[in-house]
Amino acid sequence: MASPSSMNAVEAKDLYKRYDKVWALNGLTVSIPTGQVVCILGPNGAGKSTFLHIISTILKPSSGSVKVMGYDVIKQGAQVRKVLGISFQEPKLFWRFSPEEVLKLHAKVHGIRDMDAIEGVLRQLGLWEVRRRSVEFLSGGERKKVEIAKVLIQKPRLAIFDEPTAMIDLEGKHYIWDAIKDLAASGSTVLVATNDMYEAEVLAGSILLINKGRLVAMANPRELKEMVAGGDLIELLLSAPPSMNTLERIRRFITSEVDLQGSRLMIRTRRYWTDLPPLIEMLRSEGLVLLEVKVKEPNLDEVITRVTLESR
Amino acid sequence: MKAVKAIMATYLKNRLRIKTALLAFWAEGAFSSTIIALALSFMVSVKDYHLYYATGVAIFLGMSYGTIIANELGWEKEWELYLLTIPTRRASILLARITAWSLVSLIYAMPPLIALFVFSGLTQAMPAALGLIMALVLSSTIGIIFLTITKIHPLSLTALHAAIMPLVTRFSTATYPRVAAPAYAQPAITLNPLAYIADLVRYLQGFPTYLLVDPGLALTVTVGVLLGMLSIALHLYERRVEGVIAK
Repeated sequence: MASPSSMNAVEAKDLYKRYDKVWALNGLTVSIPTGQVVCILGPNGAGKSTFLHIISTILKPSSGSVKVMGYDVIKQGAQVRKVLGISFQEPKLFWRFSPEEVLKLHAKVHGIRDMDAIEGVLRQLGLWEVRRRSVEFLSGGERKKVEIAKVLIQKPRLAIFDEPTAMIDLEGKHYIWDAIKDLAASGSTVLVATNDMYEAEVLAGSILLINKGRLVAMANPRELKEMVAGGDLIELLLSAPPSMNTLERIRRFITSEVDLQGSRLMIRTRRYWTDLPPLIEMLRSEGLVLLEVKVKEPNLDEVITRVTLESR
Repeated sequence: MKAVKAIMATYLKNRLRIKTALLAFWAEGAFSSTIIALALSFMVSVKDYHLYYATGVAIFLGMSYGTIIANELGWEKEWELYLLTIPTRRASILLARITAWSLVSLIYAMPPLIALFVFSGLTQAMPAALGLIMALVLSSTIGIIFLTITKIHPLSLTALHAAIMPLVTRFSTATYPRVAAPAYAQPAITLNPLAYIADLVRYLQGFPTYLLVDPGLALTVTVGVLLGMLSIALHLYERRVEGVIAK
């Protein structure tokens, strides 16, 4: 089947998955475009890993359909597995093998001829020194890096990382984030399931928010913040309280969310960088002096918490 | 095909990596089977019983080694999840594992069996080769059964091995001919596929037919068991992942 570049990387429709009496996915419908890093967020048990396992053809859905790069995960499983690579939350490694052997095996089963890529990835992730040590003698973080390295050498069209930096130290996290960004830059669509909001801020071109097996939102981080938290908070400390006339002009031309506490003016705005200059201009035209300017963007953590609570 | 070859090669390499363990397996197998064969030769009054018993031990060893390796397979869920992501058909992956596992089983079982055959006087190349091949086939079958069972939980394999295997062996013709079996064991032997498999091996090795079950029936049962277990294992392998049946 042809796979035109304009198609979505993943198209899930009315996806249900039941484990005995529990519905892990409950009618999930989502389209993930190609060429992006999409972070999948949601509380524990939201259905993130189940969704990824269905995309990877490891699990079959109870009902519904999923296409990966145009291939049906149920009817064309082998083709799907050819275009995707997955790094599991818990490393899936041969414990008696060394990182180098694990990666060579992975290269062979995926028909990768460029064995030099293995050296490059081992060095990039700081595994070169331990490349011949048995996996059973590696630290948890090193094993996790080997798991991630498998996808990096594969450079699949759809790369999936389930909690890629769990168990990894801060320096290692930066190595991995850089490697994932490089992978995306080389043309792979990347899905990252994570509970680390900072990781999502660093990586995500889009965020897919799931709760109780349903889609809550899919947007880029900025849109998500605007959509949910009402945007940025601008806080101005003025030399004197502004007049009622000025407040009315702010409400009319900038935003209705204005709060005045003495000489402290607090304004909610969708985008601080477009609204702040005319706001300052208005205040200055009244002869007010700005003593302090603070801008606070809502962080993703607040957004996700709020969205998750609202979706219950 | 490359993926299948790579998996088989990796599997063999992984299994045979610890050479001291392999040597220990060989030594233990040769020693225990020879001692048991000698002891039972005094207890069963059938002409040339030691020859008859040597084949039974070959089958028993094949089953034991098959069980041990299948047990290890059962604990390899982590590795199995990775196998499910390999870009080839699932049936090919399972067949690659079974083939690789059978080869490993043969490598584990062959030296002690050769030692036993030589010690027992079964030195002709043909009977020995047949014995080995059938041990391999049988151990594969048992392995498939246990591989399927251990999808539920590997501990079940240990329990089954301890509780059922002695009974299955006892109520078969693996260790003594049917004519020498007590009356109460006859119905169980009739229903036990192992009896037919064991006697088929002996028939091919040239044992007197009055000691054996009907060879045609034995061949039918053996082929049926092999094909049946293979198809069941393939079917379950497709459907059962992470201990959860994909609905």
